[in-house]
Amino acid sequence: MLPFIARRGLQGAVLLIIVSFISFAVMNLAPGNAMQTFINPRMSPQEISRAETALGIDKPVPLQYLSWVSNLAQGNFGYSVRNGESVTALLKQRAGPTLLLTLTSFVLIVVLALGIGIYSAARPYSIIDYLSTMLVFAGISIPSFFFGLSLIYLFSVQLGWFPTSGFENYSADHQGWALLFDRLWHMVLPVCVLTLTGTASILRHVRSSVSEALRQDYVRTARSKGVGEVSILFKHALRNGLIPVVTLLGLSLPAFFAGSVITETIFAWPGMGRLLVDSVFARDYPVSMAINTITAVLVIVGSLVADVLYGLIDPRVRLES
Amino acid sequence: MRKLLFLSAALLLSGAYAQTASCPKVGGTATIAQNSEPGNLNPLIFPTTYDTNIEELVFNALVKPTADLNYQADLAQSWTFSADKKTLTFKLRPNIKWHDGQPLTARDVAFTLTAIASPKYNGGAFSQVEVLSGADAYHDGKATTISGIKVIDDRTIALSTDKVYAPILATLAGIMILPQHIYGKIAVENWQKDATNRNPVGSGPFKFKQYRSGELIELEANKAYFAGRPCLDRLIVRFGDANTMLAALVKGEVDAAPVPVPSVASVKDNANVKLTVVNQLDFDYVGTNLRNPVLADKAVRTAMAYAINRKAIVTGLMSGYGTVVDTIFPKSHWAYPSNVRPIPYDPALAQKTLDDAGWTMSGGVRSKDGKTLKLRLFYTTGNPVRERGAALIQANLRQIGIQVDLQSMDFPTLVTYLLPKDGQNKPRAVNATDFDLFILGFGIERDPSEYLSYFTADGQPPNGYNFTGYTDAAGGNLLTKAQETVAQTARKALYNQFGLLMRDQLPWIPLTQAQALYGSQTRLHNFAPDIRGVNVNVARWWVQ
Repeated sequence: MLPFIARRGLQGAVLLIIVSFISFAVMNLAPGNAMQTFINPRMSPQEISRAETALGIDKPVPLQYLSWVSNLAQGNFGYSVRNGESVTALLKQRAGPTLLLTLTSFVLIVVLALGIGIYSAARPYSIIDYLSTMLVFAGISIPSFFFGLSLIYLFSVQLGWFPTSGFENYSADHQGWALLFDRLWHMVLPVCVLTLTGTASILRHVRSSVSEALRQDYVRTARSKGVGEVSILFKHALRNGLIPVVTLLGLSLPAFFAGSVITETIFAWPGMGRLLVDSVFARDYPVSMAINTITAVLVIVGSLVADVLYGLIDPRVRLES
Repeated sequence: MRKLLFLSAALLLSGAYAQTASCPKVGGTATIAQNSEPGNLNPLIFPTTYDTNIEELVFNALVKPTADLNYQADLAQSWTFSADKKTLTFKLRPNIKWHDGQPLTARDVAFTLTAIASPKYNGGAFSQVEVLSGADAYHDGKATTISGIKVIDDRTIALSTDKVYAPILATLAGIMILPQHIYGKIAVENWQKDATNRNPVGSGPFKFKQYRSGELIELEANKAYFAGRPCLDRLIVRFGDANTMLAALVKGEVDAAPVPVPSVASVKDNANVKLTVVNQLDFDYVGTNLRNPVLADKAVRTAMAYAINRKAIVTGLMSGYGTVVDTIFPKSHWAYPSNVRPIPYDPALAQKTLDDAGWTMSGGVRSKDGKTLKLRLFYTTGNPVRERGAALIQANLRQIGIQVDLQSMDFPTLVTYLLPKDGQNKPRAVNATDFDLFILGFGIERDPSEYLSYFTADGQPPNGYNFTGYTDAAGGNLLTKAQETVAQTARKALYNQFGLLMRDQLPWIPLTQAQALYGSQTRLHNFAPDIRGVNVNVARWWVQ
């Protein structure tokens, strides 16, 4: 197992360098730069050039990339062009709310997708199965910005049950439990959006993968030998049926950190996803590069974790490696 | 002694009376929303509108604009021009304090103006102080002080220019004064990255309290403010998507927010929300590349102006919240020439104009001497009026035989066409093929002298913002003369004349001027944004 992890780790590092260079190049080759979003008549073009020089964004892309990498090697993501804040400090502020939102919805997604998916696979054509199919259709076909705005309209504006947006009620001076409860209350709608869309895609895979496993010969053999249905499902079918799902879950790891761009934007949630959107529009490359790099690291780590889990679930994979 | 006591009691009473008169209720919190997060809160580092909206609450300038775009006292109590009009002496108000209790003196003013001129400063405001005598020498490292800045005493400062520069008050109204005892300790080249950007100490009606990235900026009343304490105790500025903030307004989570035109119905139907419609100084226009021989033909530009149905943009795309513009000044600006001939919407006249100029139609496209009327129109994304307006303009122009290809892009990308760079990434001159037509908005300042950069031969990129390449000396002379004329009526006459000239020559084809819409909760009183901005009378806002 260890050589396998080491080899994959090395592959991942090479991949990371390639990914970071490509995304750096693509961002910098796109026409326009951060300074051009600041242009106003009271600033002369000479001053813009001077500021570009001061920021180092007038240099050729390979040079800019090298200086970015050398800063990164010292643990420095650079400074936001937009507000001059250190990117690391900015990420620290934004990571908490994103983790809170995405971890909560991840737990719900896993519970719902596994629970409903396995039940629908075991009891096809039951009412739960039909309802889950509808849920999948809804979750995949409704765009999250529309779903989010509909929830805000219905549950906040019309019914007044939940706050429309934000991380807490800013005009109240909450402390302790009251603050915690207030934040949980603000989480309900965005968590609903993330959970519905997330559950839908994973539920689909769980259901098809488990029912595929239930049709296998070994299941038929076990059944003919008189093994009970519960035992067949949990001891035999799930073990094989859930392997692809583990990959899916592993690959959804980056979303924990990078956040959900659309949901966070709609609910004015102070997380990483919204930070990414803002920085892309402002051409604030140090910030977007930092988020992209972290996401790339997480994708690589996520797929490694998935592979390791594969090995634990299915010994054949371990042998092959 | 008794007399003195009586006098001070009377003063106290009158002070109390003044406060209750302007603030029916003191205290409470108001929350307002804006659609984008500010960058940094140092007013001298690349200020955007979103930054300035907040910086104006925390900082002061020497003077500030009035509603009719004149100037009134802010930090300065009074100002006098010397006989030759080249020196302006300001007397500051007595006993002004920074939010940390330190006194604000003329030395802070001198420090701020000098810092912008420093060779190491790169925050984008140097061109505002460049006009002061000796600023260039200081900027180039040839002098250790700026000869045009003289601190006379704690409350008096004199600023001199080499030649008469009429917009100097307008310029100074745009420079907020920073505390020397804080910024003086930070090397000016590091200002952009310094933590003070997110923790500013100013002298304005509100003190900065906290900045939560992605969420809000919290301010508290400056109870010792020289112009009287604000009625509110606390002001929170939230940032979020326009639709979300509108929902928060309707639900009462924020007290005021901008209203997108398509959503105006949801505010009008709501008894708790008041809609305020405000004129602005921004207008949209179609810019032309006059280096392109086709567009250099005035008949083509005039025909385009006649063919574009600007009224339809106002009624159809702006729901009527706006008006057509006939020259390069918005109607709410003092420089607007009231005798300007409106540009008619008249496709037949447009056809005739092109016919008379020898552009003949064949296969739906006009041509002359081998040149066809096929043009690219660049426009920016993110503004529905401009996006849909571009399609309307395309259809309008097709009717008169001008074929237009639309290309949408974001603002920074459009800038790369208007302010092009060479292979070495250095700014270069615009050529005839960089672009044909573009739609942009222009927010004119209180003083139109900035048009020198837009409409003179010297202002062509890379030296200025004359993207269109308008080089007629007549226009440039008017602008130069206006900049050197201090008397307001004479200046107005010059700018009026310039407005009429632009209506005739049309390097910019003026389109429309939008109004800004704000919704406010009925519990928030005195919310009265105007042409100067949304927070202009924030000290008088009060909540029930």
